[in-house]
Amino acid sequence: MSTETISAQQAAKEASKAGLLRELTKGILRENPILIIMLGLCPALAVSGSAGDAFGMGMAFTVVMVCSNVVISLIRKIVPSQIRIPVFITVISTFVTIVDYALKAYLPLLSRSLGVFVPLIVVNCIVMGRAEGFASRNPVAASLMDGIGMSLGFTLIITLLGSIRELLGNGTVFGLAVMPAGYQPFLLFILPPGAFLVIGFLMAAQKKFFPKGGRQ
Amino acid sequence: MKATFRLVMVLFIVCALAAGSLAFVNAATKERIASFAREERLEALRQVFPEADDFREVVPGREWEALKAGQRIGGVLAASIQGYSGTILSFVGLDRTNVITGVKVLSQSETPGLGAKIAEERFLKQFRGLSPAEVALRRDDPAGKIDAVTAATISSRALTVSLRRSLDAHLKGDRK
Repeated sequence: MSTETISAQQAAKEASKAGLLRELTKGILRENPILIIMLGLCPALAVSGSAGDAFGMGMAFTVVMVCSNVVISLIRKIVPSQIRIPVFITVISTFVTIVDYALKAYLPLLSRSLGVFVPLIVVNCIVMGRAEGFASRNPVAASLMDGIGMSLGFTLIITLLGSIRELLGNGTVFGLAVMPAGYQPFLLFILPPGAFLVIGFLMAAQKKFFPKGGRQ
Repeated sequence: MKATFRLVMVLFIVCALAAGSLAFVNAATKERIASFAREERLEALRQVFPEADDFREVVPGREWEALKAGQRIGGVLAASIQGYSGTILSFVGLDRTNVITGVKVLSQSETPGLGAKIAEERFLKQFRGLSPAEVALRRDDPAGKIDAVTAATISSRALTVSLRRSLDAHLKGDRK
């Protein structure tokens, strides 16, 4: 953690394109929030029963993550450290509520299938973790990139998880039939245990094919 | 003292800004959310009673009159019950001769792939054209005409029983 912060600060000080790009890409694989940092597993497991829901969750998460990272980075110098946690929570929950209302008003069907997991982004440990661990110590541009990168990583994995579960458990991906008509859906995969099985295999695959993840 | 004051001020300003923006978002979306809820309910009413062209609320949230060209041609009842997991909320339409015109499940959280199939047309179409006395599972009641969804007897029974209860209560009330 500390070495990462120092290197992140150096990268930010240089303000070079490469540094910002690094902040952006690290969330996708090298420091993927789900597979490597292993935060936010609860929504990742709970809302990945279908690819559509998972992608919607990823998008809702992206808005909250990016906005809260930027705002927290903007106000990082005026917020005394004693009250930083309540301030972060206020900022995050404000964005979550905005996203929740916007979904209810403009995408009511998605809002219904995501249910309580949109309000629960408030306590998503990735958002909180990035606020405390990154945005509160780094300039706005780097925090923006970090937020986008983490969101990409989260959306990528949760959508992948949702696609695999929907494919095996229902024979479809994003509601489109993929498997041949005679395919007998493997129901277990859209039930909760399926989420654990698939994420286990995803983590194993990451360890096998991208063994550098998590290390510099 | 000064430091404490600063803490209070920062937290106060942050919360005030948050509250202000939430009030704005609420005002901007309230109308849309409410109109969607109305729209959705009207759509559900139309689905359980396709013949009617208008609905009038008799008991808020529980009972509607189905109207066609201003004439009452039947009613729609809401039913809710605790299913296998969570509440199952459904609508049932009943015409003037006490024949069921349709059933729709508005919300449920039954097991995906098993109990959730009670919300599908394949199961719900069995109700159409039945009289209230026939609304029961075949395995529970010799007069029943409903086949449960395979591997989802509890969910099927919950929905059927809740519809039956609403229908019976409604018919008893009518006779008074």
